[in-house]
Amino acid sequence: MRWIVPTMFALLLGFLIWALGYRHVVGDTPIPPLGRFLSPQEGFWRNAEPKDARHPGSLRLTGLSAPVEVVWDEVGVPHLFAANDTDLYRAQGYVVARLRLWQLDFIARAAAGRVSEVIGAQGLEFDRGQRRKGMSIGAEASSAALMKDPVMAPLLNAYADGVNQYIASLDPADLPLEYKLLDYAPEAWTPLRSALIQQYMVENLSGWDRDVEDTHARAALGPVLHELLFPSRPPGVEPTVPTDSIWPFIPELIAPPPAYDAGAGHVADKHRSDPTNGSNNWAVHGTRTASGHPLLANDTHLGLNFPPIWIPLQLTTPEHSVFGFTIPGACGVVIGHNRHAAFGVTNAPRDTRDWYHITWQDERKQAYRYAGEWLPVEVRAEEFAVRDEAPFRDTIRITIHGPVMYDEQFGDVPEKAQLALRWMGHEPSLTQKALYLMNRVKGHADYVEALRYFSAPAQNWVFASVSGDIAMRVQGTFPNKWKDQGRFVLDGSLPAHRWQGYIPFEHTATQVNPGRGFVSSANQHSVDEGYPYWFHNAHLEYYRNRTINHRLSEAVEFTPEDMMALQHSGYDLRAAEGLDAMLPLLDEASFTAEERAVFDLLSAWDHHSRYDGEEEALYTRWADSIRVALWAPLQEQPLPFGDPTPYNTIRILGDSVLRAQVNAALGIDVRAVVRSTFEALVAEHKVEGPQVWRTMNNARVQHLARIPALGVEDLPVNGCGTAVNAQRGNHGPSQRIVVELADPPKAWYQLPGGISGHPGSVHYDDLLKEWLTPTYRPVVFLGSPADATSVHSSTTLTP
Amino acid sequence: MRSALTVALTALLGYALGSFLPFWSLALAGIAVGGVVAPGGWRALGAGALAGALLWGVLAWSADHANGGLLTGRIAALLQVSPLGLMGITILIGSLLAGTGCLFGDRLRKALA
Repeated sequence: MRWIVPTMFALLLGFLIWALGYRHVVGDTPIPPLGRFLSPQEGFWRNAEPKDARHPGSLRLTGLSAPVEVVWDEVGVPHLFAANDTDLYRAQGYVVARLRLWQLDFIARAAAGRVSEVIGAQGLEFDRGQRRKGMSIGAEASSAALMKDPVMAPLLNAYADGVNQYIASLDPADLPLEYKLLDYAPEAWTPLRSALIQQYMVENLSGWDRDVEDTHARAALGPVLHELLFPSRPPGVEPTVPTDSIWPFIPELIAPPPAYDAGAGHVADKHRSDPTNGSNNWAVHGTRTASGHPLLANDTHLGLNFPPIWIPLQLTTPEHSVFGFTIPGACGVVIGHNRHAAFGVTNAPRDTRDWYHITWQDERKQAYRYAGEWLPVEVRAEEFAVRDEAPFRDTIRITIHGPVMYDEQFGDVPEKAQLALRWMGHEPSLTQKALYLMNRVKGHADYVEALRYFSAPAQNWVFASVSGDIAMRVQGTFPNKWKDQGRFVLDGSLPAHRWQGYIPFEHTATQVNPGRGFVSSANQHSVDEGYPYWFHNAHLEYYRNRTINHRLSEAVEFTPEDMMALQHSGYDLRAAEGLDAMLPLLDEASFTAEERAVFDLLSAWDHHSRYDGEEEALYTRWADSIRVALWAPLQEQPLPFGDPTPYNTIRILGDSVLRAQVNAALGIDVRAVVRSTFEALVAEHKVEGPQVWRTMNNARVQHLARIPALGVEDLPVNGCGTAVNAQRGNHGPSQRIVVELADPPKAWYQLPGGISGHPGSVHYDDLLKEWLTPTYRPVVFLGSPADATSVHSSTTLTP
Repeated sequence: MRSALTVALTALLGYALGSFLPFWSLALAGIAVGGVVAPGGWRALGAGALAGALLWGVLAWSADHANGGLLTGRIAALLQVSPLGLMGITILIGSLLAGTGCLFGDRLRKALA
C-alpha cells in the first residue's frame, strides 16, 4: 500500500516529462516540446543574445595552417584574413555556419527534396517535385566535376570542414532557434550540399518556362494568332547586348528539322520557380561620371526572407582581398569588388529548359522510342523519410533527355502525355570555380577567363575596373538551337530534337566600353535579331531595363548618389505606357463625377509608385481586371494557355490595328472591356474609398520557414514589380551595392535584414531600416586586421 | 527551515544539473532534494515549485533583460501570448517540474523508510 502514492507521483512526473519533452501536433499545428523549448538553460532563452554581445576573442578551428583573424564590424559583418586559400575557405565555412547554420542546412534540404523529413507529409508534394525535376542529378554532377578539379576540391572540402567543426562545437542548447522550434538537428556538411545550394539558385533563376502552354496555344490559335498574342520578339525591346556592329565570329548554326506535331493535352508544370526572380545591374564609363572613375551598381530581386540569401563579408589572403555578397555554401563572393575591379550579376533569361514527349514501348514503361529503336529507361528509386509517418517511395524514370517529371504516379498524367525534362540544371557546372577566379580578377582579361567556367544559371555579368574598363557579358552555357526549338514540346523520339551542342564561348554576346558610355541589364532580351543564334525565353523584362537606359542616357555626370537614387526609383514605366494606351479608350463625355475624379487622378499622375499614394493601386487593379476580362476567352479553352504578357497586352490596347485583329480573332471588343473595367474600378473606389499602394503591395520580409512572428509586414517602400525598385510583396531587391572604381575603390551597400540569421540577435534585422530608403552603408574594406577600430571586435581562429 | 533549505538546494542543484542535462534534470534535482531533506507532504510540493519558479524565472528574466526583450517579443507573438505571459508559462513549467519532483522524492523516501 505504501507504494501507491509514490507510484502515482512517479506516473504523474513521467507524464509531465513526456508531455513537455516531445513535439506534439495539434490539428495541423506542430507544437515544439515545451519543456525543452522554454527551459532557460536549454530552450529559446539561450538564443536571446545579449544586446552588447561580442564574438569570442579566440576560437579553435583545427586544420588551419596558421591563425585566421576575423574582424567583426559594427553591424557584425565579418572580415577574414587568412594565410592562404584553404585556411580562408575553412574559416569562411565556419563563420557562415556561425551566422547562418539553420539557413545553410534548410536550403540544402529543400534543394534535395527533403523538407518532409522536417515538416512531415505536407512537404511531400514539394519534395517529389524537387527530385523529379532532377535537382540532385544536377547537384551530384556538379559536385563530382568540382571534386575532380585540383584547385576547387580542397577548398570545398575545407569549407565543409569549417561548417562541420562549428556544428560539432554546439551543444543541443546552443542550436539555432529554428532547430528548437521545429525540433530537429543539423546534418553534417559536404561539398555535395554546397552544390545543392548552387542548384537551388539554378532552379530559382532558370526553373520556369511555358512550353506546354505555348504548345496548346499554338495548336488552338494557329501560328499567326499565337505569334500576335505570345510573340517571342515583340517590337520596342532594348536588349542587354545590342548588335552594334558585325559579330566577330562565324556562327555554327543548326538547320531546323521538318515541321512536327507537338501534340496537345500535356500537363503544365506545377513546380516552376518564380519567373520574376531577376535583378538590375549597370556600369557607367568614367567619361560619364563626376569623378572620372567608372561606377557599377547591382541589385538582385529575389524572395525577401529572414535570413537574407546574401551574406556580406570581406575575404583576404596575401594574394587577394575582396568584399561582397556570398550565398550560404559558396566559397568566395558572387557580387562585389576587390582592389582592382567590381563585378555583379543579373539573371539572363534564356530557354535552357525543354520538354520532350516520350513514347513508351508498352504499359510497363521500361523502354521508350528514340531514333527508331526502343531504349531501356533508367530507373532511379527515391525514398522519402517523412516525419511522423512511414517512408514514401517513388520511382523516377530517366530518359536520354532527362527525368520524366509527371506520370501516372505524379500529377496523374495519362500515358500519352508524359514528358521528360531536359534542363541545363542537370549538367555538371564549374560555376564555383568561376567565382573563385572572379574574386581575384585584376582586369577585363581575367574577368573573361573566369567566366569560361560559368555555365548556369545564365547571368549578365557586369564588370568595371579601376583601369577604366566597363563590360557586360551574357554568360552561361546555352544549347545551340534551331529556330523555335524548345519553345514548344519536342518529340523525344527524334534525334534532331535533342540539343545538338552549345553556343561556343567565343560567340557569347558581350559588350566592352560601348560608345553610349554605359552597359546595363535587367532580365530583358539578351540580344536582338542581329545576333545570329536563336534566342528565346517566354518570360522577359520590358520596363526596368528601359527606365535604367533612359536615365543613364541623360547628359549627366553621374555620382554614386545618382546610382543609389536610381536603384530606389519607383518610376513605373509600365503604368506610364499602360495609361497612355488605356485612358484614350474611355469616353470622357459620358463620365460621372466619380469617373472624372479617378480619370483626372490617373491622368495627372507622374507614374512614380509611392507607398502612400493611391495611383499605383488604382492602376494595378484596373490593369489586372482588363487582363482578366480581355483574355477570358483563352482561359475558357480546355487546355491551359496562360495570359499574354502585360507588355503585349498594353501593346494591343494602344494599337487600333492590333485591337481590330484581336476583335476579329477572339470576338473581344477591347474598347468595351477597357470601359467596363474602368466603371467597375470607379464603383469599387466609391464604395471602398481610397486604398494606398502600401496596403495592396504589402511589402514584407518573411522568415524562410514562414514563421509569421519572425518576419516583418507592411513596410513603407516605394516601387513595384516593374519599377527599378522592384518591390512586390515578399519579393524585391535582396541586396544593393554601388561601387566607385577609384584607386582604391569605394563602395556602399544595403541588405533587407541583417548579417545574423539568429532572431535573438540585434543583427537579425538591423540593416532593414536603411534598406527602405537610399541610406547606404559604406563598405568597410580593411587593409589588415590592424585597421580595426574600437567599434569592431576581433576573433582569432587558432589551429 | 526545511522548506527554505529545500528551495535553496533544489534551485542550486537544478541549475548545476541543467548546465549539462536536459530540462527534466530540474525534476531530478527536486527528487534528490525532496528525498534527502524531506520537507514533508505538500510543503515539498510548495518548496520545490518555488525553487523551480525562482530558478527558471531568474534565468529567463536575466536572458530577456540582456537581450532587451527582442526575442521574448518574437516568441510571445509566435505563441500568441504576451511577453509577460511567456515568462509566466516558463515559470509555471519550472515550478511544475521541480515541485512534482520534490513531492515524489519526499514520498519515495517515506515509502522506503
